[in-house]
Amino acid sequence: MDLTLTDEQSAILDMVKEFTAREVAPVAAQLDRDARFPKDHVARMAELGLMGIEVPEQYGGSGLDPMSYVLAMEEVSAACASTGVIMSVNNSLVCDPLVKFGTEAQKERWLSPLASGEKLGCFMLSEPEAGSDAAAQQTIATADGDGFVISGTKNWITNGPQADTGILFTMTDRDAGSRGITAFVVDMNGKGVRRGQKDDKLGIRASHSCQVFFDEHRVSADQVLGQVGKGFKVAMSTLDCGRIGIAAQALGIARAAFTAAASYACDRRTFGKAIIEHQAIAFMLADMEVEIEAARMLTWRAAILKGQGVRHTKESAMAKLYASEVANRVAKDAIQVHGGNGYVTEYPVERHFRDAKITEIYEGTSEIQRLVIANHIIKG
Amino acid sequence: MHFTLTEDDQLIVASVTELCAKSMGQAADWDDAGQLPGSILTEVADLGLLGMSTPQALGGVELSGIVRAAVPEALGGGDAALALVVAGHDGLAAAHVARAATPAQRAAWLGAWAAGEPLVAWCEPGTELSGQMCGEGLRVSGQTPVTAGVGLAGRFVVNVPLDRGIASALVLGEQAGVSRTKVDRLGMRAAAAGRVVFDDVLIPLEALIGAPGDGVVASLMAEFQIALGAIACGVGRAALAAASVYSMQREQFGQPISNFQAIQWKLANAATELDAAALLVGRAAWMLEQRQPFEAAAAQAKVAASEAAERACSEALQIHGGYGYTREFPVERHLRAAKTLSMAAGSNRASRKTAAAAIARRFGGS
Repeated sequence: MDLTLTDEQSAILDMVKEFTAREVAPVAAQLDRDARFPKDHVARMAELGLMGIEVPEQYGGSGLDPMSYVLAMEEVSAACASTGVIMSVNNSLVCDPLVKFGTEAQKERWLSPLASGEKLGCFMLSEPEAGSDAAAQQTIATADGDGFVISGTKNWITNGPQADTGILFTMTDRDAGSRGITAFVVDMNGKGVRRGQKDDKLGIRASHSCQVFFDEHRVSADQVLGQVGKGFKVAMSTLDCGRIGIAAQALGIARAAFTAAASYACDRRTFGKAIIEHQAIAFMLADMEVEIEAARMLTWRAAILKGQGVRHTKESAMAKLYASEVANRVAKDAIQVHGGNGYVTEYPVERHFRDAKITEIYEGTSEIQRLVIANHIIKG
Repeated sequence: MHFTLTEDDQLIVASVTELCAKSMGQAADWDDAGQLPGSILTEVADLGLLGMSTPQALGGVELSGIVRAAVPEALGGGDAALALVVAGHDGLAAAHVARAATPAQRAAWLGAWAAGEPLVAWCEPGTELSGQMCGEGLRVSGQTPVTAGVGLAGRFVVNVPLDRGIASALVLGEQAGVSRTKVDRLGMRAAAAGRVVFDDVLIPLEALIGAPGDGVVASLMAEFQIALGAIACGVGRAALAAASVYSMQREQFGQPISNFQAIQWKLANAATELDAAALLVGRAAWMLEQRQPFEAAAAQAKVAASEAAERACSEALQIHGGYGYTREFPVERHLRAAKTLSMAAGSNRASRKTAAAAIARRFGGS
């Protein structure tokens, strides 16, 4: 057991804290209210090397470890969860599979501009009829000449309205089930790619998602990511890592809600004393902190295992499950600590409450995380 | 950063796990009897577990704080009562002497204690004990709070609240005016909990440990939260393991009940919460080892672990159905032990107060 951060990790943390305190936190409420995509933040994150944190420097990334990534994610998400998920998708769901499964040529063509933040990426797995049951893909890629022709619809695609590049999952062999899935890297501005209206969401409103329609979109064989028929493995392996990022996002949201509640409880007075001096409030805050620290430990553990190259499917699922549920409990209790003030948009906790909810849903619902964990227990 | 034990520490933990597998099949009988057998105490002493806090020069094995938090978990998985008695002897009594006693006292006591001769129970300060310093020593009347190991121990470290702080002293079980009462408890019955009763007893000066108000008692109790949390993780994980095995064997509706999501969810929740709690225990131990302020982290770990263990044990019992409610299966014993841990050391109410006070200080309250 050693929880010491390296000098490099501390330096990243300090840099991100400064960036978020100065530039992100002050405008987060307004971005949410306007449902406005934080273009400036994304540009600044690109400058700071936060769009491809773990990507090797030769491909335009920062060449850092997964711990640096989760530290940065917690900070950015504590300031603005929408900005957090924009960053998370580009890092975990787009750059990561390109690093892991991409050919040298793919890395040069697609990864470098994404990792440097010059371009933005999205991850297209979900469909109208394929959410948790991700293998039930309806999008079809038909072999045609030296490439494929793709048709189908993708749902809830975060960064979809802005993305330049996408990781796309399709069915290349309908009869083969999950063994018939193939991943591609695609140009989002290509012919036969159309984006729907942006989704109107409960939370993370400054991050935009939409449906993406593929209508006979033609790709070449060198756009296959990994191997034909091995796309499900690409998706699952990517989500194993992505879940660590979402755990860190949830942790950031939880911490922001807790910080707001603890500060409020020290200021607000009832019955002649600060409400933190009432045990009902003090113990609520104590429980929030216990769970936040526990969520942080689970998240860090998963990140460390990833950095060691050790299999971490169960640990990532635990981190994501626990942190997301903690974020929801903490945000809900943070509103309670604020009373009526917590229910109005003048205070930040209602935003944290709305933002927290998504973390129990995307990149595998809590139910999917429990299935993953239970399978590990039962099957050893 | 890493979350693992060193190879040496892993060997220590493995030896404890092996002892549990070899020698603790009778834990349910010990629980029934309300008494640990002397043989198991000899076995834990032989492994060095009664001298983990004792310097090597004085006959102990002097382990790091990290592995001292890992051993109670492993032991708690075998028998929580034994783990609690060991933690009291080593982590409170011997640690107290190692830290605050005179060189002569340490030399005289600690070597024998590391061998378990005798076993020592450490009694928290309580309001039913009063004392007065006089020329010959400390005069004590009243009774200690209920303490694990009192029925097994030959010596007690008692902590007597005085006006100028807490006076600590070693008391011989056979001393005139000292008696003990047995307290029948819900859980961890083999720990033979009880009170030490004093009928105007004069404790001689040479038996006093440290000086009143030296703060050692408070820091020992803060550290003990880590051990209690660790034991709770062991108890919870033992219940989870029993429930996992049972769910794969038990068939209903023509299939193992582990196929049902209602069962899988309980297993997944328990495993996640116990991992989270164990990491908090490790974190607190690490902060202590780093000499950082660790009290709030230790209290957090104790709350999280004991409550995760209670939930895990309760769900493990539920997975066993009617069998779980019988003494034929171990989970009811684990559940009773988990409850004991959330009640221990001033109950989780005291731990939450510690955790909440740290928040109030940090955010500018009083």
